[in-house]
Amino acid sequence: MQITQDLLQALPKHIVIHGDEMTRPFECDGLSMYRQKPLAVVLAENIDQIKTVIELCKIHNTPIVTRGAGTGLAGGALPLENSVVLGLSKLNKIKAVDPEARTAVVEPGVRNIAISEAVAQHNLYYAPDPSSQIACTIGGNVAENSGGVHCLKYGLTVHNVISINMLTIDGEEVTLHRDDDGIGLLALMNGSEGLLGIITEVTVKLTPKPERVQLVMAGFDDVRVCADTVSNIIKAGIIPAGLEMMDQFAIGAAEDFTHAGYPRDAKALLLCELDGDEQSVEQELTKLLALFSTASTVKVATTEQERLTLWQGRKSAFPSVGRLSPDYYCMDGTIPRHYLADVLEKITHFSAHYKLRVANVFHAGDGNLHPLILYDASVDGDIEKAEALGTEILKLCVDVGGSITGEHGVGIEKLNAMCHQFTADELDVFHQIKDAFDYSGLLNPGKAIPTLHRCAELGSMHVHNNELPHPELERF
Amino acid sequence: MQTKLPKALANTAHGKKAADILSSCVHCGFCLATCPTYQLTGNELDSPRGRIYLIKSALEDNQFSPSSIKHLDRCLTCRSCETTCPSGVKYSELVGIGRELIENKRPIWQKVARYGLRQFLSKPALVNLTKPFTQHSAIQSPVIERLATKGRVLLLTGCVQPTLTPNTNHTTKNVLTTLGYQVEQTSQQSCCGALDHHTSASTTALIKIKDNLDKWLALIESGLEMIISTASGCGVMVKDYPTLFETDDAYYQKAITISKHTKDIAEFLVEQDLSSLPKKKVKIAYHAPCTLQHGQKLPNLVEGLLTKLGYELTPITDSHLCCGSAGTYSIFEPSTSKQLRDNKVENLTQSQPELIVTSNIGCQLHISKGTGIPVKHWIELLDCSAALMEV
Amino acid sequence: MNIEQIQQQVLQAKPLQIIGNNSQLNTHFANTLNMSVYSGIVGYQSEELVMTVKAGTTIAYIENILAQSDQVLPFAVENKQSTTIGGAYAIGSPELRDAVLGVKVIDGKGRILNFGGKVMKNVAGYDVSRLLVGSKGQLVAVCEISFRVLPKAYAIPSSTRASIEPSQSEAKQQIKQNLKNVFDPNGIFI
Repeated sequence: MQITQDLLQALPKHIVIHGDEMTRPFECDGLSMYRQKPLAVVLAENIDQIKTVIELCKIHNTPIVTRGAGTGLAGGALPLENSVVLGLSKLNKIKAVDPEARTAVVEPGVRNIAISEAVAQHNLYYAPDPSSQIACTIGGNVAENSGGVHCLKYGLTVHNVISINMLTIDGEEVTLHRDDDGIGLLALMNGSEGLLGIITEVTVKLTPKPERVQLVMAGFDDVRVCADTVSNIIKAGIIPAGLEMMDQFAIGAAEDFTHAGYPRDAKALLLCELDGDEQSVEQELTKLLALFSTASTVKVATTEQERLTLWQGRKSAFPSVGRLSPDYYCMDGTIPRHYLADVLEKITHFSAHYKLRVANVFHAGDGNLHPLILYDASVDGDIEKAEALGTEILKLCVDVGGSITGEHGVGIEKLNAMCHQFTADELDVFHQIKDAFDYSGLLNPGKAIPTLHRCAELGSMHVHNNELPHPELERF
Repeated sequence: MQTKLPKALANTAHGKKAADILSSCVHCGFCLATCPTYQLTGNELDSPRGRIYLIKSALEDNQFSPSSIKHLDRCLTCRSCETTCPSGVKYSELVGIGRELIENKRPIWQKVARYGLRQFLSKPALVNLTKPFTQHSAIQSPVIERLATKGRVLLLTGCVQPTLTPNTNHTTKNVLTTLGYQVEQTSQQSCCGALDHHTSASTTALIKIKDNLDKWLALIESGLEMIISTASGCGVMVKDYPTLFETDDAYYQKAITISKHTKDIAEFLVEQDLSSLPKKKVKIAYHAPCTLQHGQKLPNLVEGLLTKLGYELTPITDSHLCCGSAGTYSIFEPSTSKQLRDNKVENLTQSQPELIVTSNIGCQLHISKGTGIPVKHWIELLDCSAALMEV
Repeated sequence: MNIEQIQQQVLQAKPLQIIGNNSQLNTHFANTLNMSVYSGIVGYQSEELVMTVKAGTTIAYIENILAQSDQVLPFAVENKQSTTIGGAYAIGSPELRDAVLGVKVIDGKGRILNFGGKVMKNVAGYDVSRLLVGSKGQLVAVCEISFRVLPKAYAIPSSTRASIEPSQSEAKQQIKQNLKNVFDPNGIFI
């Protein structure tokens, strides 16, 4: 292809990857269900090279898919047909740290955890911590507005980014700042999934390490009691730094990998982390332990090592479940917290109906569910069943007032579900917003926002407010 | 990850194993973070996930050109990715399969170079000739002799260790003798097979390995308590013998028995009463070899042992990363190897240690080329006879 | 007043200035859309830490309701008695933007649109509900706002500071102009 020749001519050879054999490992990201080989992959080493890629892609009318570490779970970095993948993993320098102002300026390919490691000496850290934080990049975090286990208290990526530099489709450098007067362009860029611009630099907010961090694990014999405890914790005026729930299936899987000491016979488990100054943590701990009186096991982490081991089980839970099944499909719906027990019960029913196992590992404090649907792609019809089950779960989330994605993004995976959450008019606005930034439609086109045509064909256009699916569930 | 191997391959033992390993990978990408080569290049193709994909493609479509070989050769087989992988992907076994696959496709000059190196290193007579130029350190204390009060153990002396760092085996013998063990030694000829295995000469490796298995099994049957390795590279090879045989092979069970009877010297000592051993006040930096922490899955073992013995260990940044030695890697991939060594030396010397110690001869020799600080096997710290002489 | 009545006003409008309680902006135009009559709490469950209110509700009223559950707003607003939440949203501040979870708006074509939601985490679609914070009533008529609230113990020390524009560029101005055309192509909202 001409574009590949032009890229090879304009850029150093070692950063342009082309040909079937070499581009194949880039054909998918963390969601390997969907695959598409790009024409070429460019691993840019500086901003000028990115500009060159944009320029050449515009000349050849070739879509650009920006990629960080390729850990996304919604196919946001899935290459498009005849596209060029722009990899930013080589841009991995931490450019500046200002311990006084509590900020760090980093290139987009810097790994999430590398920021925290670099600023640890100043007793600071970068708060958002997606499970893939050891590998995922900050550019990808901004593109997906990544969450993590600690965003109940410390917010999502959008709350922890102070400014970004981005390149427009015309190769113009634009700085967007949190304190900009007028509309929130920076907020808009968070979670825009590579459709609006290419992020070239991120200034993040750093958070002081709390004086004390206290993790408590509680196992419950009953899922409903566990779910209700989640609401009771918030009701009691506590905002834990993290509040995670796992069901029995997930507990077993995580325990097999980490040997963290999770109670295998518990039906559900909570990991609740308190942080702050010594006194407030102690007060909240007393309150929390009282709320955990309904638990069958309670374990208060006594050492930092114990705390990390307990967290490791949770953070490795997804891939650990992968040991139990050839394939799994990870959902990411959010619901108002007080529906937790009802929704989990419904998911159990769906699981029985479709005869597919579902493991639940999720951010209970945010009402952000991660049902993992286990299936075997080599069994005929299993993929379709898994997708149907997933759709049911996401519809349920929307129906109780939640969302089809809390932190993984829409990517390619949830395009159909978007039709359920938004009206044609709303989707029209989204498409126009893309046009406002990218009139050429070359930045990751087709991701994140479904075409109206697709939704119409799907026939599952947004359910209007006057219809109430699942009338058995109590509402506001 | 969904994998579709061609029928002919899918039905072979190799194919089944590969398909199993590939399906356990969920493509999460966690392994990118701890892969030393990905950290240097930022290229998916130089990451475990990328290499798994290259091997997958090769198995599915038989598409494998020198470009793929380049990226596979760049893998250190440090197995850091295995430690990080939450899905339990047996990466090194898959890479083993991949390496066999590429061997036929290698350019002829590469084949010759590899053959030559293999022949040289595994022939003690040849290696010994180089002693005047290559010896790293000499024996530094007298031999201890004492009547055995405990069992018999077999010390794996290694093929190059007796020539280049003889003091390691010597001290180990002294320590074990002091503790009351009767120490037997393998001959310098009986290599563990790692060298051949890692340069893709699996047939040669298997002949040596079968020979070892028969000899050592006879010793165990006659009451040998344990096989002890002082080079974690050899240790991991012996412990992994079972992965080299099909389960219905007669040697599979033998390999399991030998694997169970093999311990790294630290693993063996940690269960012993070490109060009779000397303690010296030196500030040391310990380099954990990949073959020990990732391969044998024994992280923090030596660190714990040395701390217990009273040594002050300096904290090491990125202690999970490879030093770049990685068997014959330093010979075939010199530039990556050197870059990794420079990074490693910087991290090891950050807190100005008086001494750097490690658990594997490969790392020891490689690191010492990059620093003026002496690099030893940690067991040399416990030289009882030296301590006796001091008193 | 209900939302359909507001929609009618927008549909029939010549250029229209949106006002709340008239506390912040000077009105220079005859045609105004008075949102202060569209007020009240739409939904509030303290354990969710989320409140949904109509745009004309005053900050003082909201704070009063929150206080009954020992909760507070996570952003500071001046002139609480007269300032409406819609007005505060239109003026905007980084902290207010952080707290916003979702909005119901009427765009310049008179379409009723929902963006964001009532949950803490939601990355479906572009983050329009945070984009429009600070839009000065010039892009859409904001009708309902959902935002995060905090237990009193977690109250953030209040501060109001003037917005700055650390960097300006032509490209940025162009994007802003394009977005104005997305939401209000006929220039209804001034």
